[in-house]
Amino acid sequence: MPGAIVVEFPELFLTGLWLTAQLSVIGSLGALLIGTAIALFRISPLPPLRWIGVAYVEFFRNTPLLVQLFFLFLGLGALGFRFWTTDTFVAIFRAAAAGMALYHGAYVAEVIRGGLLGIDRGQIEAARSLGLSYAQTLRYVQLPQTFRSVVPPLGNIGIALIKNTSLASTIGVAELLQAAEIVESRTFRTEEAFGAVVLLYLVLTIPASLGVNWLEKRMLIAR
Amino acid sequence: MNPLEALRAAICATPGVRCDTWHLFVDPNIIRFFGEGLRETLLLSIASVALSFAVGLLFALARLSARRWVRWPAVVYIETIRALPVLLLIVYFGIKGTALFRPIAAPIAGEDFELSRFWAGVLGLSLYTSAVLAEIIRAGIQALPRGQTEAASALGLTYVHAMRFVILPQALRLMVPAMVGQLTTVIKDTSLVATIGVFELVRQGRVIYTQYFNPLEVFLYVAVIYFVICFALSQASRRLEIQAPKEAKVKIEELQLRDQVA
Amino acid sequence: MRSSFVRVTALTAAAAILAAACGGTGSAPSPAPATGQPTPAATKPQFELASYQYSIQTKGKLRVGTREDNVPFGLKNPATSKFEGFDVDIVREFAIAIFGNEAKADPDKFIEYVPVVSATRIPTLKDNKADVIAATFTINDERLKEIDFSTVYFRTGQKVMVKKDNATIKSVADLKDKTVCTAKGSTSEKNIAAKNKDAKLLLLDSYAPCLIALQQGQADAISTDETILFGLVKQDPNTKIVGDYFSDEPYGIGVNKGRTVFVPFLNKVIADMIASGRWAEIYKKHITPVSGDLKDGPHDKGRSN
Repeated sequence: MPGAIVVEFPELFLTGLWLTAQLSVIGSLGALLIGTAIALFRISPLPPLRWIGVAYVEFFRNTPLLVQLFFLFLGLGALGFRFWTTDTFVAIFRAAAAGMALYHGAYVAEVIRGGLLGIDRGQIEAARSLGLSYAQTLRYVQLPQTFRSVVPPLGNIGIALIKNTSLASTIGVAELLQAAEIVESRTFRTEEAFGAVVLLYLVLTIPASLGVNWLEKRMLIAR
Repeated sequence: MNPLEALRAAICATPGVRCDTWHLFVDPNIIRFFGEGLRETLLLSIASVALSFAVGLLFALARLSARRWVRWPAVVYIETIRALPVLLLIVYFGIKGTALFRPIAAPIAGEDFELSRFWAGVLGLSLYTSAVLAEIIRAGIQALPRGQTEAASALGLTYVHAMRFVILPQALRLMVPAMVGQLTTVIKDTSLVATIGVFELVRQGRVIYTQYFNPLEVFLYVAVIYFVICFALSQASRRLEIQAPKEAKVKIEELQLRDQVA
Repeated sequence: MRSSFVRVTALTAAAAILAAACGGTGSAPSPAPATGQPTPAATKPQFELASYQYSIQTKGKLRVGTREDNVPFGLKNPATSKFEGFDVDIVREFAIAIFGNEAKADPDKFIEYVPVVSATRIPTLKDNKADVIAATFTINDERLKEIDFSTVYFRTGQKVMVKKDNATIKSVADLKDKTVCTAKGSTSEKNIAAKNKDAKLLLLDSYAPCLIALQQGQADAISTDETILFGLVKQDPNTKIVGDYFSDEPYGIGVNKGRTVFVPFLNKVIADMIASGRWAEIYKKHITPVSGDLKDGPHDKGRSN
C-alpha cells in the first residue's frame, strides 16, 4: 500500500509533518506582516522609506533562499546570535521561520503594492476631500479593497512557501523532506520513503492549489 | 579618529566579524575559485533550461490536445510535479539517479556507469522546471487570439506547420518576460544542488569558509554575486514586456508566484 | 670490413640477449611459493616467473591507485606535485620490496600513481589500469566478490570529535542530551542513533557546516569515521578526537582476483613492516598529528602521544 512506510516510522513522519505545518503557518503570517509593511514603505511619500522598500524587495527576491537560510543559521551564528535561545534545535527552527518570512515577504510586498496601486485614484481623492488623513485613507479605503483582490496571488505565494519549507532540511530542521531522507538512509527503501513524502506534500499543496484556482475564477468574474 | 575609521573599528570589533579575511575576496586565486563555481552554476542553469524547455514544450502541447488520452496524463504530470518541492526531486535523483539510468546507459557507457552529480542535479531541476514552463507555454498559446489558429487551418497548414510557423513563434514572444523570470528562478535553484555535492557557487563558498572560518563574509559575497546576475536578468525581463492581453499577463504572474522556489 | 663489423655486433647482441634471458632474475618454479626476499647483497629481489610481482619487476613500475585529495591518506601536494600520505608510504614499502635497494633511495621512480575516487577503485583494478589500490579501501563481503584484499593494514571506525577545551564528553556514552552533528544519510548517523538513543542529532548535508556549528558552539560534538575526523582536525587544530571506536572499518590493499602469489607477498611485506617498526613510523608521521595517539600496528588500541 503506498505510504505504508509511514506507519513504521510514525515519530519521524509526524514530527516532519508537524514542523512543516508550523513553518508554513508562522512563515506565512510573518511574510504577510513584513510584506504589508514593505509595500507601505514602497508607496510612502518619504523617499528614504521608498528606498528601503525597493532595496528589501530586490535583495530578497534576487538571492537564493538557501543562502539566506545558511546566513541566518551560521552567518548570524558567527556573530553569536542564536535567536534568543540556547537550544540549537529551537534556533534552527526560528532561523528557518525567519527565512521563510523574509524571503516570501518580498513577494507579498510586490503583490500588495500592485493591489494598492490598482485602486482607483478617484477613491483616494474622494476620501481625502472627505477629510480622512493619509493613515485613515489607507486603513479604511485602500487596504480593505486591496486584500480582496490580492488574495489569489497571496494564495499562490502561500503554496510556494509550503514547498519551500523543504529547504529548512538543509539547516537541520526535522521537517518532512528530512524525514524522507532519514528513513531512506536507514532502510534503503528510497521509492517508498520518498513516495510517502510526495503524497504528504501533495495532500498539503493540491487542495490549496484548487482553492486558489477557485478564488482566481471568482476574482476574474468580479472584475 | 574620523567617523569612518570609528565605524570600521566598531564593525571589526564585533565578535564573529572577520575583518582580516576581506583581502581574500580580492585575491585573484580566490576570485578564480569562485569563478569556477559560477561557471558550474551557469552550466547547470543552461542545461536545465534547455532540457526543461524541450520537455515542457511537449507537455504544453499535450496539455492542449483535444485527445483525452494525451491530455490527462499531461495534466497529471504537470500538476503533480508543480505541487512538489524542487529540492525533493533533486535529492531523489542524487540518491537514485545512477540506479535509474544504468539500464539505459549501460549498453553505451559500460556496467560501472555512474550518473554524475551534475546531471543528477540537472535532471531534478529540469523535471520541476519543465512542468512550470509547460504551463507558461500553454498560457502563451492560449493568450493568442483564436483567429490565429483558425487562419492557419484555413490556409491549409497542418497542425505541425501551424504550430511551428504561426502559433509558437508568437506565443513564445509573449512568453519571453516570463521565461526570463523563470531563468532567474532556475539560477537561484541551482544553489540547491550544493546539497547533493555539486561544486557550484555555494559549495565553492563552503570550501572557502571551512578553510578560513569566515562563513558570514562568504555568504554575503555569494549572495551579492547571485544578486548581480539575477537583478540584471529581472531588469531585462521588465524591459522585454511586450503588449499582451491582460488575462495572459495576470495568468503568467500567477504561475510564477506559485512556482517561486528558492 | 663492414660484414665483419656487422657479424661482431650481431654476435655481441645475441650474447647479451642470451645472458639476460638465462641469468639474473628468473628461476625455476619451486614447490612452495617463493616470495621476494630483499637481500642487501642483491640489487633486486628474486621472484618466481609465474608470480605477479615478477611481472611488475620486469615492467619496471608498480601502478598504484590512490586518492589525491584525502588528508592524511592520499594527497597530491599542489606545490611539489608529489603524492604523500599514509597509503602512499605503505605502497612505497611495496615498491622497495619488489625493486630492491634502488627503490630505497627514491621509491617514486618505480611507482606510477593512478588517481582514484571511491567509485572508481574497483573499476580501475578490473580494467587493469592499476596493480594495487591503496585508497582507504574498507574490506567487506560485497567487495570480496569482485576483488581480493591483502590483510588489514589500517583499522579505523567511528569516533567522536569535540572542541579541545571540552572536558565533559569523552566517549559516545557522554553524548546523552548533547547536540551531535553528522552528515545526512550517512552510516555515521545510523551508528550514533544505535549507540546512544539520547544523543540529539543535527543532520546537515556535509561535514563542513558541522565544523562551523561546532566552532560556534551550536553543536557539542561531531561524529563520523575517524578518517573524516582527521581531515577536520587538520582544518581546525582547536579540536580533538575522543573515545573508542564504535564501528569497525578495516582497510586492505585492493588487488585483482586471481593473484594467488601476489597477495601473500603483500601480506608478508605488511607483516614485516609491522614487525620492524616501519608501520609505527609511518603512523607517527601521518596519523599522530591529527589523532593524537601512537600505534604499533593496525590492531593496536593506541596510546596517547
